[in-house]
Amino acid sequence: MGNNVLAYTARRLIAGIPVVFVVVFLTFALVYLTPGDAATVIAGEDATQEQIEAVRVSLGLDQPFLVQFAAWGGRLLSGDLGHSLVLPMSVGDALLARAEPTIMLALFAQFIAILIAIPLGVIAGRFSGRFFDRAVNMFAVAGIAVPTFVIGIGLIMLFSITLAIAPTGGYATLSEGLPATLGSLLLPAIALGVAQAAFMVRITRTSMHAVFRSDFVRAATMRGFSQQRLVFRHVIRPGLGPTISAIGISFATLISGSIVVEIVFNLPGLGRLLITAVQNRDIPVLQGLLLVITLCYVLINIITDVIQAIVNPRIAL
Amino acid sequence: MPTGIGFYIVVFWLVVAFLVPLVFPIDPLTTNPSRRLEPPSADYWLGTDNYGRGILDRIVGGAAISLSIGAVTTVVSAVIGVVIGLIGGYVKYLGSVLMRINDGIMAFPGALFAIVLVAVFGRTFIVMVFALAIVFIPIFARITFGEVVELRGASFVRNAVSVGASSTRIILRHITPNLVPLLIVQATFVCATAITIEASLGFIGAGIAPPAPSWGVMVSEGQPYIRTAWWTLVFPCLAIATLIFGMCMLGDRVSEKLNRPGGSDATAV
Amino acid sequence: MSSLLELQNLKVEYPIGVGSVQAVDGVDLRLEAGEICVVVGESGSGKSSLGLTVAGLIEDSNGRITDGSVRFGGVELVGLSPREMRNYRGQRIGMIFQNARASLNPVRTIGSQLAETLQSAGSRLTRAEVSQRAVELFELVGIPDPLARLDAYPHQLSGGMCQRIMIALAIAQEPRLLIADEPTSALDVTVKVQILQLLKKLNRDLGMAMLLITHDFGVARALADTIAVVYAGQIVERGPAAQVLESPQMPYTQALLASIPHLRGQATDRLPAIAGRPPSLVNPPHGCRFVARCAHVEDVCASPAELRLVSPQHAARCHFPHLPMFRPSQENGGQR
Repeated sequence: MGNNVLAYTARRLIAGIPVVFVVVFLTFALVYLTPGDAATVIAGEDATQEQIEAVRVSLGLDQPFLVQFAAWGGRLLSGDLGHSLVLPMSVGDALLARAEPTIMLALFAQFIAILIAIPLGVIAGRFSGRFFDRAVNMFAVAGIAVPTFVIGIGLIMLFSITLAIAPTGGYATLSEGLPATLGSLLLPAIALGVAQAAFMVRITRTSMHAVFRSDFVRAATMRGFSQQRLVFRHVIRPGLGPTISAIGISFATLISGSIVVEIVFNLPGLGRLLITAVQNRDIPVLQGLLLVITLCYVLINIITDVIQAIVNPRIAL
Repeated sequence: MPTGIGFYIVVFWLVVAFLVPLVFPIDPLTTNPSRRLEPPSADYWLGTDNYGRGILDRIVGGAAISLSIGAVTTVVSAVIGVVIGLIGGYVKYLGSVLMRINDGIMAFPGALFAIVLVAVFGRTFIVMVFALAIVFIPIFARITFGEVVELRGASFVRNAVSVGASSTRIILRHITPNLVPLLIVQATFVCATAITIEASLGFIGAGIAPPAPSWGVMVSEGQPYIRTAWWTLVFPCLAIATLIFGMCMLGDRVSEKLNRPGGSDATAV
Repeated sequence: MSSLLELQNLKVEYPIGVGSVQAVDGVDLRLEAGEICVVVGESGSGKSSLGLTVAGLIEDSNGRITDGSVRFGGVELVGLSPREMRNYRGQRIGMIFQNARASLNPVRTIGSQLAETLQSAGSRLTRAEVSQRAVELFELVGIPDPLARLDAYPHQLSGGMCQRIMIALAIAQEPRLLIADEPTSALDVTVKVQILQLLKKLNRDLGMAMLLITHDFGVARALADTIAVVYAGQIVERGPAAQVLESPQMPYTQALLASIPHLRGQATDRLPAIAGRPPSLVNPPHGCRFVARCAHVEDVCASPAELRLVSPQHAARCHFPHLPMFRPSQENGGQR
């Protein structure tokens, strides 16, 4: 079985290559199409026409599209994402400096989402059609529909202002200890996690509902197992497949959501970097963010596919 | 005609956005520094913001923005997406190439992509529609492509071809009955998502430029006053929440009635 | 001395919106220890509902017991709480189903499913003991190369193999009654025969009673001690296998037996074809339910027919049992 999973991983990685290529190509094309002249911007306001042309040649901006693309792609492969137009550092460094809060937030939020969605989904699947199921469904629609920043603000109004039991923002870095970090991230992670959970719970519920009604659960019931054993040993694993896919698919929402959440809760992560870059029209940083986040997303999808194959061995065949 | 909570909520906002301004004087743009941050009163039912503008007026204005963005984006991306899907489905070799590109575009997290596009090309209504459309076109293209490919292989289509029916006739008669319900269900959720993204972008300052009364912008302008002037924050939040919730409920009901899967799970972009 | 299983006036319905389907309408049945009773009927006759009810699974299938009793070893099963019912399942009553592969957990190995079943009987067995018992069980049900099977997944095994494993799992805790719902319908002909022989062997060697539910008279012929024929939710004929097969009294049974092509010694998996369809069970007809398809209808058939004894152990639900009827004869191969 181990061999099957390895082969499957390899196949998924190979299948990801064309997607990666398109992503890289489109990201570059976006920059190429940006209105405005980068050479003029870099050369400065007082530069003469000759100086601007010199800058243009030195940056290779006079070359045809494909040549520029190849050069850019080549720099990419060696890890060079370019230099920020505004900040005194390379794009790569800017990303690294701000990555920690975003990564911690995303992981924490995903963890909370799983903690909420799977039990709710299993119970709703078991008692489908009854009150609990309907209530969960309504919660799920609300969670999906209401934008994350609204949820975030709502949480602040409730917990920070009315009840005054949580800070309104700020981030404690890992150097201050994990509990401090998680504490500062609790409200933001809940805001983000609730939206994720809402999306996941419906998928989980449908899948679990089908498994509860399946032939093999019926046969297992006929062997006299308790509800507890049935749920944990016979329902969850076969039913978890779609949930795992859902995590991969919705990771994009998690990323987009974390940008917004970072603004609401004043966290110094990639989201803030994005906003600053937008305000300053710092194209290289935007490009770098887009590229890195999208490629992470593609990678996450491959990883969730592989996890699926491990949980459900039939997929790897 | 599907009714239910969702339907009524959406109708409510449509009326607010497009009919109310015809009857009442709504002024979301004029600033009034002498009346800043006033709580709800007889003059200003929902209070005023930090520029002295009436919250109620701006909410009405924002409704028009949200609904217009939603509708226009959906229609544009649906039309273009379906055409691409049809072409891809019919012209054999083009199909897989187009779908690969499709997958590539779909790999980008939607909101992030929209943010970057708006940042690059300008913070106007047109650019917003364009950016969102690019995010949503692949969804419609993939659905259409899938339907065409599936039906291309079906025997009754081959029979029709052998009897001499033209391709366009086949498309119209056989593919549309299956495709249209799927598209309608998808359209409601695309619309809801478009409105969500526009609001989120407005909130983070990457959306349509102020002083346009986008609800998202209103929330971000109101956030500093969270303790002192809650009405600048709460009302836009409620507006956003109710409209999108209503659209999702409507979409769920539509998909139930048409018996198609899709549901709110389709909103992850 | 009470029978092992006793159904009395059992009524089961499925609510469907505006009304309900009376799937089982007053069934009496008795099964003694070690006896094999085959319940034969077409689809929709209520035979499966019968099996599910005895197993206590009817509510999971959206059914409801509205009347009657199901006694196992003298104890009333209707109305037991799920926890109490659990004591009966596996240890006293086992069940196997039509689709064997679908009845096995697709993400776990056969070995782990078997170990779990063996250990749930309460005793903590060591791994070696579990393997030992597993091998014994597999040999009992005729699975070659038992140790290799333990690491396999259901999708890697053939239908017949899955069926044997399902049987092994069901009898692992040595129940006194095995309910089998269409155990051979999804298998091909040669495997069918093997499974039937296996069931017969298990009945003989373990003294395990069986309630077999099928549409195939071939199964009845091969295994039955008693046969019960079900039509439209009622038992229309019941008796020792030999008597029912040789001299069916109820026109429905006669029609079923007559329409089976008598291919030499081969079991058939084709449904017997009789013109017409069974009556709707949402509003069951007042009189005899077979009138629409019966060749011998008279005025009195408009009134309900009771199960009448035509010989000490053989009963038929007809106004005119003892009517000279068509017998499958050897010359014309049973064709009408």
